[in-house]
Amino acid sequence: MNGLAGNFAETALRYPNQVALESKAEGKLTYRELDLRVCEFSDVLEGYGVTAGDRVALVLPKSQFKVVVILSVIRLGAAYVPLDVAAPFSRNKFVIAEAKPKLILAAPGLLGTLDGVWDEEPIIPDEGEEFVALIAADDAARDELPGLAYILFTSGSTGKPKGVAISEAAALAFVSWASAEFNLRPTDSVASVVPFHFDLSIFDLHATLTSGARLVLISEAATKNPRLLAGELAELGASFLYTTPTSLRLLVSHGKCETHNLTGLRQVLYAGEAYPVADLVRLMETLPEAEIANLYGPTETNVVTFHRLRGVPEPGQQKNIPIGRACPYARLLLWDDGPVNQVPDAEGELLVAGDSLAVGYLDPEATSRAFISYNDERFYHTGDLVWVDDQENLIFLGRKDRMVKRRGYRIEPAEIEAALQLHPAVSRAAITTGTAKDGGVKLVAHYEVTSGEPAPTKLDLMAYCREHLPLYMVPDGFRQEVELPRTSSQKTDYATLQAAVDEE
Amino acid sequence: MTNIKEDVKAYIIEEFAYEADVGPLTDSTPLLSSGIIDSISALQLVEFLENKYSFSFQAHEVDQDNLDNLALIEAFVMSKVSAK
Repeated sequence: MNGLAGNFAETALRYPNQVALESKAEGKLTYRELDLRVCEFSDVLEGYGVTAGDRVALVLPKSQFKVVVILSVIRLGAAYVPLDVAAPFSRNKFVIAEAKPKLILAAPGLLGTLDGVWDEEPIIPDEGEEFVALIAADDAARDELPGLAYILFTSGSTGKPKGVAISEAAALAFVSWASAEFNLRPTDSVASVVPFHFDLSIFDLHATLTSGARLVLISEAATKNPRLLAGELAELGASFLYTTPTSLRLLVSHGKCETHNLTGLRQVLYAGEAYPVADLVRLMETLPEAEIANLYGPTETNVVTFHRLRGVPEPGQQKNIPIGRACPYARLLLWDDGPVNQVPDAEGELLVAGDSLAVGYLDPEATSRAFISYNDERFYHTGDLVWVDDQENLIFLGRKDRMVKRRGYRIEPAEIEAALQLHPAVSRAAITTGTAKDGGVKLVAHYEVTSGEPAPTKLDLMAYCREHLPLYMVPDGFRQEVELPRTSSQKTDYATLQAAVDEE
Repeated sequence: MTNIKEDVKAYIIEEFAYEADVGPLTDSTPLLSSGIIDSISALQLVEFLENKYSFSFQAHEVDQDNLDNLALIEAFVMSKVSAK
């Protein structure tokens, strides 16, 4: 047994009595205990017919059991597909139809969210189990071996989420590097704050549990309430934290960190969006003991560049913290209608090749658009524009397309527009962006009302969006327009619309 | 202290640019569960309440059950202040 599962099993043999998992609600589990549960649950999965190359969808809250399931799925050479249990029904229905899993494991309390998604009768195991199982009749997807480790879904410009398929080898390239680069040791406790359907969790789960360190599962309540988060980080003795700038900024501004002892936090990693320099300075003042590093990479490539912060940046002097330089397994290419030399002051779209690249999307057409062959190597078009500074660090400039990042999540505005246009009273919708009061991205929906329909109230539209989109995609503002501006080719004229918003 | 609901209402309208065409802001208008106030704004509201009425939320009290409408907010503030 090689790869993530093999490395976990070896780690469990090496550190049997170390604590592998801990949470406030469920207490502690040692490596030996966790390994035993993984072996047992692998047998359960085999009993349901899961073998290498299958996919297993998880509709489970974050818990020790969910970690057991993930390790068991990987152990069998199958891929786990973690669903956002808080996402609207229609989105999860789509995700399951795309992923075509062999088996769905759902928490009994969440079975209702799958009504109509799955026709088969659920298998209810013995009383007291934390799951019910649903088995695909016959049209489950099978991947060529060696198969995938996991599939994560990101926002898509066609209005539908895209499934990103990651091999075990690709995951391992990142995990092995990150453990070594940040010197993750058996004495460390890694706080798991982000949900398992978010790609930052790959570090939490797999780097931690192949290093002999302790994975601390932060409670759901604390991930939404920075005061509880500060308390749990201190109480559970977290030494590592990898999350988004949004989450860190809230921790600093609203967590009352001065009332807790957070001196044990020795390494803070952030990714997912830019960290405003002034806020980063406040983070360093709040956690003076912590080393801080910025990691960069879309889900399709995992982390491919990193930048360690040395010293406190001066607000105003530096526009953006660099995303840094390439990880050893990544090859970067700047592109502007052709390759651009990566020298100081060069600018272009960032293309990435190397061992951490995804196999592709579940949709082969989307794969052929975003992954290209150049010099016999497979490169992914990130769509991110970067600039090279005089230290040869890369600086993120912005997006080539309309995608925005909000609270660390990628958002294709087209996905929000598509959802709004399904409202019977909305004939057309267009999203513009701005800066929210807290410094994050603000989304404004502009819409035309279908003739003959009564105009919906903003509260109606907000409620409608909350029913059909994940929370981070729900617009902050709604504006009715008599007519949305159009280009000469009758497409929505975003430039004009955005300029009008920017002027206000 | 008699006008907690009015004070909070004024704060929400001013601070979160609550727009009148969303509908009238009544004692029972859902604030958090409707999305009128997002989770970040809720934290600002908590700090406003703490400063204005001189009490502290326990970490677990920062919750929709205590903050989702003006009536709940008033009841919660009253219970905290009278317990002091």
